[in-house]
Amino acid sequence: MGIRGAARSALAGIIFGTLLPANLAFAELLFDTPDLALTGRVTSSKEGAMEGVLVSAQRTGSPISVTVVTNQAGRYSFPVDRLTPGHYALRIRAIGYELDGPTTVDVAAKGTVTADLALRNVDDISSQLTSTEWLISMPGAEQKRPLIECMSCHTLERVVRSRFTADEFVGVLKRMANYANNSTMQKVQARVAERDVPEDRARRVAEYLATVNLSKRDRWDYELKTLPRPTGAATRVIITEYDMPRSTIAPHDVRTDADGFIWYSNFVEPYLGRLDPRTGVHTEFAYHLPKPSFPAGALALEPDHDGNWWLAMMFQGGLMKFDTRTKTFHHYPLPTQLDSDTAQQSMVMPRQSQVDGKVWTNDVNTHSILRLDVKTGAYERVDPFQGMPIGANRQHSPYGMAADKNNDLYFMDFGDESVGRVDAKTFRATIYPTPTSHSRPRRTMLDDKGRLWFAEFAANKIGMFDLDRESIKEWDVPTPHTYPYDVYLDRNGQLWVGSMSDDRVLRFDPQTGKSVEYLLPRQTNIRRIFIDNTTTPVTFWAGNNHHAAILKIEPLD
Amino acid sequence: MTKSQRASLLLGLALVVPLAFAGMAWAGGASLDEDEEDQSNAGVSFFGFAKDLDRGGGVADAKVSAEIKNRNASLVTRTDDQGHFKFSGFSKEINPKDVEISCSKEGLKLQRTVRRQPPGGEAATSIEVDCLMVKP
Repeated sequence: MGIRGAARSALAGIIFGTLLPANLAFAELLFDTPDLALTGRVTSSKEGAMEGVLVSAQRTGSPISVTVVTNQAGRYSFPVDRLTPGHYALRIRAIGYELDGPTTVDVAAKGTVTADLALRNVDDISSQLTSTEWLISMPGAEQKRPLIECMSCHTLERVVRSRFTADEFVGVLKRMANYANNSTMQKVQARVAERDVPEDRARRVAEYLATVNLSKRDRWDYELKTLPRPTGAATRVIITEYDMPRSTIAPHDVRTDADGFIWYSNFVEPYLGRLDPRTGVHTEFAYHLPKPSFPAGALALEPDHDGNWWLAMMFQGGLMKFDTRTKTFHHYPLPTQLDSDTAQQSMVMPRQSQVDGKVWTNDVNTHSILRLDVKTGAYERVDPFQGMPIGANRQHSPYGMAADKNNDLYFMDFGDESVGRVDAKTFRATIYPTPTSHSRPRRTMLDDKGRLWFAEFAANKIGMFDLDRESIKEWDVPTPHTYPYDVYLDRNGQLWVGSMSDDRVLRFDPQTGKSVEYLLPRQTNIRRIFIDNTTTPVTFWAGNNHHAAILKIEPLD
Repeated sequence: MTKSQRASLLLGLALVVPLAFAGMAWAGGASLDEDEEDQSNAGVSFFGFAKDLDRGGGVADAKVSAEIKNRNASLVTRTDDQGHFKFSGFSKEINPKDVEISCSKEGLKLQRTVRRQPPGGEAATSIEVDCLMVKP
């Protein structure tokens, strides 16, 4: 800002200072930046101008919040097409800092509003740490590993802030083992079939947890380590969050359709959700619960060739098809002999079902693959792991799925370390172990060059399987303890990666190894991700599984 | 239930029964201590080298397949920079004699495989198999 601008700012500050909340350090109207609705500088007494601070604005009564990030000069800028006139609440995210109380600003129909924000240090950063930062901070190595399962339902802050002794933790662990996978803090669901946790294993984990929580101390006796704030390219982004109308909604898989709608599977409730991002209008399509006494919710959401949606029905059993033309559901139940209290379909792959009328799914309980004949409703079962190593702690588990042009199946062995292939005609299975052992590959996508991209959850890596060469290549993700859940290759050849633990989205170039990590405005548990390649630049979509929101990321370069 | 459904079920159940157990699992679906591998059902593992008999040395990035007799399934991996490969093991129910190792690499052909007699005999936990490759 030049001298002239500074003088005008000072004058405007005097004029408007009494009209805007006192905790805004400064406010003015600028008339020379017509492309901006709201801008300002973020400073602190410790750092001066602060780069990499997330500033979020949410208009009163709106479910949509927009976030931008301060640049090297500490300036943030909201374009005019992102904020309609109205009264906005502002919030920030910068580890170690906070705004001095709630802040609001009025965005006018014309002109640019400036709101400079002053931050102060927080006395206690523990409530700002992500699960990844807790894992980086905790002592130990392999003892931490079981904690990566906790993040399916809650952050690790809940664990480390607890005061359970080792003895008490044993009971807690046994209780939680009987919660369904599709549980959140907002909606806990118990399994119908009880599971027993061997005492020695539960105790081993419990004894470690009692050394890192607050059972023996008032403060953690290990250093709380934090990840750096965004810099450079990571600050050039606009993030939009669409809050769902109920806190219990748990968006799991998110997909766009040809009409620009966002569809999602609800992990804990019997609805298929749809969001119009142009208007924020949210619509739910309800389906009946085939097994009302079992945990509700669906996991995978995939379209078929005709644009209809398929849901993997988890503990409700079988698959559900949603006809987008008639807006009706059709359930394909498991036959009685395959159905049980533990039957669980988490995945569905109908993308090439037009080839042979078959849709792939899995059965978590029996570590196997099922294939549905859409016409007859019959399921066939394939065990792709005949003769492979299997033991109490090395259980295979077909998970993420993709299908090639022949509707041959490619799947991730989330329980172990392999990519698998099942021939659609012969059911012949081929297993390809990843170079890294116990990698636990999770979700996957097949690109148009015949490459299968996948997240190696436990290895903290991204993998690529070349279908022609039958070879696997791996890349480390840059931040430790990220535990990637899903990966998607965009039209520019860049990979996008989401996880449940670090409140960041990774954009990674496998050719150069360069990466950008976009920090998200709040705690965000990401599952399936999707890239809309029809926009320029591309647009990232995902659900916030624990906080009832749909997330959109638009890189600015 | 249709005839095809019944047929599918019979096929399926024949395969389900041996695997119809649910290992101790966490809420997210995995075990409490996943990295502590249980070897109770682990059988023999296979390792070895793909060797270039014409040029000498190992063959890097060769495709290595392990076919299991009568199982309609195979394992596939690739050799590392030194031409080494390893399959971490099959379940005890698999007779090592029913596992056939083969290698392929563009520009080379497999002349033969050599299975080395393990020192432990029948009690051996790993078996070395080398792929000897030559120009076509």
